[in-house]
Amino acid sequence: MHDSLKKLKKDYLDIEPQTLLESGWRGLEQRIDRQRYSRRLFAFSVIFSVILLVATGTFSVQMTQAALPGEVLYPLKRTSENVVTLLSNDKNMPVENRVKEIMGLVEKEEKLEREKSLRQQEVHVKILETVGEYSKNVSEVRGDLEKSGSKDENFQKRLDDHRGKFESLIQKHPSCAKELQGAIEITKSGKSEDGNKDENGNSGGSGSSGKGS
Amino acid sequence: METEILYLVRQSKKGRKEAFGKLYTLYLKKVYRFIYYMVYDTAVAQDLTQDTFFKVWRSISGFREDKGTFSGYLFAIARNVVIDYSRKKKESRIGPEMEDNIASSEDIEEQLVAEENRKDVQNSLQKLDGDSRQLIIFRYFEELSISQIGEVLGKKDGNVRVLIFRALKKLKKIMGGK
Repeated sequence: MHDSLKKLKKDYLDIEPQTLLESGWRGLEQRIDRQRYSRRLFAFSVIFSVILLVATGTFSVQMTQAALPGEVLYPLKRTSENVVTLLSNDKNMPVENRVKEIMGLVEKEEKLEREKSLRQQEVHVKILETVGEYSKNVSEVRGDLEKSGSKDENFQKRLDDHRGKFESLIQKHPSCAKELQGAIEITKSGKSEDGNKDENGNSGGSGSSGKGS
Repeated sequence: METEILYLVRQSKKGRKEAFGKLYTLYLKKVYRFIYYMVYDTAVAQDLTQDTFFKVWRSISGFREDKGTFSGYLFAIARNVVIDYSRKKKESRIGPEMEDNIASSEDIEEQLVAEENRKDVQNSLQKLDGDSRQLIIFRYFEELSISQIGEVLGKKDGNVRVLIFRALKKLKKIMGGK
């Protein structure tokens, strides 16, 4: 049998792939090139999609966070704010957000005034509504502090900071003075009894203008 | 030669198509005839040969010189390609084309007896199961060493020897039945 196998081996070795010898490499090379091109195209698509997703996502988040009352994305912003507040149990974030919104609305109002836009009155209303929200948020934080029995000096400092911003805004945008004055009163009413006392030791009280005697 | 092949393999690993083209030329016949003797169909053998080299190209970066020879690596992939094909087709043994090929490649009148003997072995070989047949091909036709065959099959030398012995025994039994 081994002799037969040897002879069979000769037959085996005589087998030649004629077609492949002539053009096999060309065909294979084309296949390799196609695969390389497809891979590169796929890689570029993935990279581009990721960049687009990140850019769109980032842009969307920024747009949402910058939304003002009355704008399309504002409800989404409030929803996300509610979720974060609920999860983190931090009621300071809504307070800060309302301050930013009040400032944004005042800027917007001035722009509309320059443009003599009919929407100016709408924005005035929104400023008032947002000041109302601000009052509610400040009361909530104040309530939590009273419950816990702690004096949050940081909160008082923040209220002072807010008041400074509102006073600065009044100077730049006198048309919104009435609404901003309301916000300033809230910064005073949100303070504890000690925090409300001026240099003379007089308490400001809620709703008071804070003017000393 | 071995140094040249290793050089071409290393270049291919870096993505040098031209180097791989040279490997293709060097090993084309080996791969083709092995596959042909497993499927007994020229067109199928050509396709599977191309598939084998394509798979080698795609996976060559994973080839490690310290783990075995390039021949072993190549035949292992060729073997897997044939197994995948067989699973799809659920055919393994005999192709009627083979007899015609043999008949046309030889001068029947001058070597009739030898041809008959060869045909007996050839037919018997075709009747062998795929695993045994490939062992015969690797050992007696491609003249791979026991350890190289072990690389291809993923088995130890001792196992390979036993398997070759059994394959020959089966072949003899088939031939003895005639």
